[in-house]
Amino acid sequence: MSTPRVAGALPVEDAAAQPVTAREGLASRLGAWVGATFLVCFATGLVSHELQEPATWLPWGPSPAWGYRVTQGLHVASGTLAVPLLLAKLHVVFGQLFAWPPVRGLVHGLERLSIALLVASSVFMLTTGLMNAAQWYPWGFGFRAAHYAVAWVAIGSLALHVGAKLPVVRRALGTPVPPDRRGFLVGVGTVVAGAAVLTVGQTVRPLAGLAVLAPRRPGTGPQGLPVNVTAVQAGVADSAPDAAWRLTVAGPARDVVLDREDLTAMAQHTVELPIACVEGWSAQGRWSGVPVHALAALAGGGPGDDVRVVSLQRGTPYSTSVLPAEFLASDDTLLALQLGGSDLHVDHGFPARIIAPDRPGVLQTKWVSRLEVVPRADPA
Amino acid sequence: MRTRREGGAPAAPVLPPSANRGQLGVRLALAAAGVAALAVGAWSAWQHLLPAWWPVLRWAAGGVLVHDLLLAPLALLLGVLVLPRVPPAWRDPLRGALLGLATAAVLLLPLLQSPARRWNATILPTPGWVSVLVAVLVPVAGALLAVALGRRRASRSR
Repeated sequence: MSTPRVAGALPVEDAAAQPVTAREGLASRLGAWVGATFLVCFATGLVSHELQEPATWLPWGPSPAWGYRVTQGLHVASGTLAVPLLLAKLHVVFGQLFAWPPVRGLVHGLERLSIALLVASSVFMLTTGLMNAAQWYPWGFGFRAAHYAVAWVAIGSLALHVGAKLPVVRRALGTPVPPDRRGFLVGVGTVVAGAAVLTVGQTVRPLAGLAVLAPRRPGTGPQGLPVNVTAVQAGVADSAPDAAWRLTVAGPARDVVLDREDLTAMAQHTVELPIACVEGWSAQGRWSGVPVHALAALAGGGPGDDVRVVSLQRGTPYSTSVLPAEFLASDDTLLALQLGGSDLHVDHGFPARIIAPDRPGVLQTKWVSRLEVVPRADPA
Repeated sequence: MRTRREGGAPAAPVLPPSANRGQLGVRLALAAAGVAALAVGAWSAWQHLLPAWWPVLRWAAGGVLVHDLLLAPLALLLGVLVLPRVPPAWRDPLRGALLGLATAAVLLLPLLQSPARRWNATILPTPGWVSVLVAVLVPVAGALLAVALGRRRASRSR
């Protein structure tokens, strides 16, 4: 019997005539759940990637202070919870891998190619993401570049897959799951809930004690905060605590050199802010220090200027960062000297570090040695 | 709504022509968006990953091979060998427990293998044996609980 088609378009044969199988019912529902986690993961990942770019199209400011904490917490949580969903989905459709003939035509061949891309990129994204959170890099490529490029492949092949399967997905989602298959879906949902309970405590403080499958716990670390890179790892274990440390503030009017006593003599500002890492953990701290705009003003900086921050740490892309003017306008954007009422621990950036609301942890530069006021180019 | 039968299959709803056209538009939009996203990914890879194309390809293919040659056949084997030999009431809880164990294995591997705790005590603060114990006990306990709840429900409905 001929297959009904819309002229010149993708085949729509499955939409019209065939009954929904139990496999299609399960695959469609699991696929919808996987798709939802992937969309959240992709959107929040895009935010995190853009925020780490020197010039970004993304409008982003210091309010709300918890913004990045939420987006990156969602990013890692959705990626983690996609693991059981993807395993279940692949289990349900695994038999289709051996369908015969393997290719029934050009469109079918392209559809199968998109599935191969989807599976490969999905597994790549989830495994590299989990390994990055545990700081395990046994590969020979840059994590961020690879995670970004392959994310587009994953979301693109997902869109192609949904486009190809839409008729059967619509029919399947409109048909109740047979009673003997509901238990499987309940089981998958339970595993997802269990995985959430055992991991999200790395950013949801009340669940911290249960986060035995997460690589971090918010309260674990010097002064009650985790550390991403220690002073020894950064090669600043000697230079950071050195009494000879000075901060240089370079600006359009003058360069100013300050020691730590000069900084503590300036008006201090204290604020509760989260530090939220790209690896998904976050924790709240009470930070005290000097608003960066006050330091920039010493060197002739004013509203509308950016500030480039330079660390004692060398040789990594994160040894410098740029604080855009939108962040400098906030008193809460600090050159922090204390955490929780005590001088910063050297692993938290002693003698001085940046802490600003709503920023990725990798941009909260530690062991600051220099601030450079960078006037924004006049648009005229 | 019209229905049609093919090859003796049960009746299934047939979308009216306007709905089919709308659906076709959505499918074409998804296809276009998909191709555009793939192009962005390819461009980004070309720009930043060209020197590392081989390890990226190896890791992308390796994940699929581990799934297709190890995890999936193992799951099928367990399904064929174990599930028919247990009472029907145990099958779904057992499937759930196996999925939980597989998930735990994927989540645990980086925690147990990462060398990071050697130089940073704040990474991986949970002792490995605690994570493994919880990862095994929780799915098993969950399955037992599900079986017990199922029995209780069944005895009430009698």
